[in-house]
Amino acid sequence: MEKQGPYPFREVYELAFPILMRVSFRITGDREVAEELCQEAFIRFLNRYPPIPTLDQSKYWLIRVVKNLSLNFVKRKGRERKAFEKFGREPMKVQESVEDCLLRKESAARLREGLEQLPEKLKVVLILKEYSGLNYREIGKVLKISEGNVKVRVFRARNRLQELLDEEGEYVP
Amino acid sequence: MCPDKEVLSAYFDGEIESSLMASIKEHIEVCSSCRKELSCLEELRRVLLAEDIPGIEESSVTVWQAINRLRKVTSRERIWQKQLVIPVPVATAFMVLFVSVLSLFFVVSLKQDQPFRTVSKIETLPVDVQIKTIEDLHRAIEGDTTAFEVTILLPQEPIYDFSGKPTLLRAAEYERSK
Ligand SMILES: [Zn+2]
Repeated sequence: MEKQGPYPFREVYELAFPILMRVSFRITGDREVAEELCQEAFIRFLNRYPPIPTLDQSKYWLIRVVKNLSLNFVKRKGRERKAFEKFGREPMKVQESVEDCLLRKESAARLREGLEQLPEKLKVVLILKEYSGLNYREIGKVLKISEGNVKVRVFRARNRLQELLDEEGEYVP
Repeated sequence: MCPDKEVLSAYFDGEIESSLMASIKEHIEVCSSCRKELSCLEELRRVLLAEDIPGIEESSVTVWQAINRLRKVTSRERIWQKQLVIPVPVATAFMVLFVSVLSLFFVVSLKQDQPFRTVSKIETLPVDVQIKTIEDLHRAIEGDTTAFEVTILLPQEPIYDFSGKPTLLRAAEYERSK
């Protein structure tokens, strides 16, 4: 169990952890939960037999598992609301000037709300796009959909978000 | 003519065929409405990325340690796989003990009506995915089935067969071979 495939586990971990953490955190809105789900994903990875042959495939597999775990968590516990509120109450620190920060907080809160309201299919694709550093092809591999499909979903997610923000007015880039 | 918004979104992500890249770039330089569209996309991304999780490094260490604690437990179990040097008398004594325990167990199990009790019942609940075997379960967990809830009903009490293998697994194999 020291190695999974021809590469050391440490390598997989360092490559995938930041992505898994961000994806899970964006879906669950809870850092501790995200940590637990990441741990669960890696444990499943280590217990997997036969091991996954390449580093990239391992990364896609892990992202897919943590995404499913996170979505299931949110659904099962019906915590969507709670997670969002927690997220909203503790805005993350942003190193920016004060005026910038005020403006940022406003639109950030609305954006989070908007992201929350997106249908799951669109939300997941946009989260993967913005927080995982994966390109369309790789996102397609994670979600087992075509590259073209990723392109369409990313666009629709953005479009919906902008519509939501426009409806509430004030959103002037 | 302006490229449609979907194309601009892909352009923004750097996901445009190189043959189209130049002409779109050229157009954007002269078209203020496309430039505005792109700045909207930029603002969207900026806001989304403005709040990274603080201390992701810290989390990384925490989770790494937790995983390693679990792995250590597992590797300790592996002592059974290592070669042990056992003096002959001890080995003989152990073998005798083992055989007698085994036969005792056999006698006890014969006393019951059924030597190998089977799982009392396997219920299939209405779920999105029909899972009958362990393999199905693996496949379902790994697949992109985000929307399913699975309920696996375990037997009332844990039942093991003679070799110590849970009978549930036997049942799963049986179910598959039907
Ligand atoms: Zn234009």
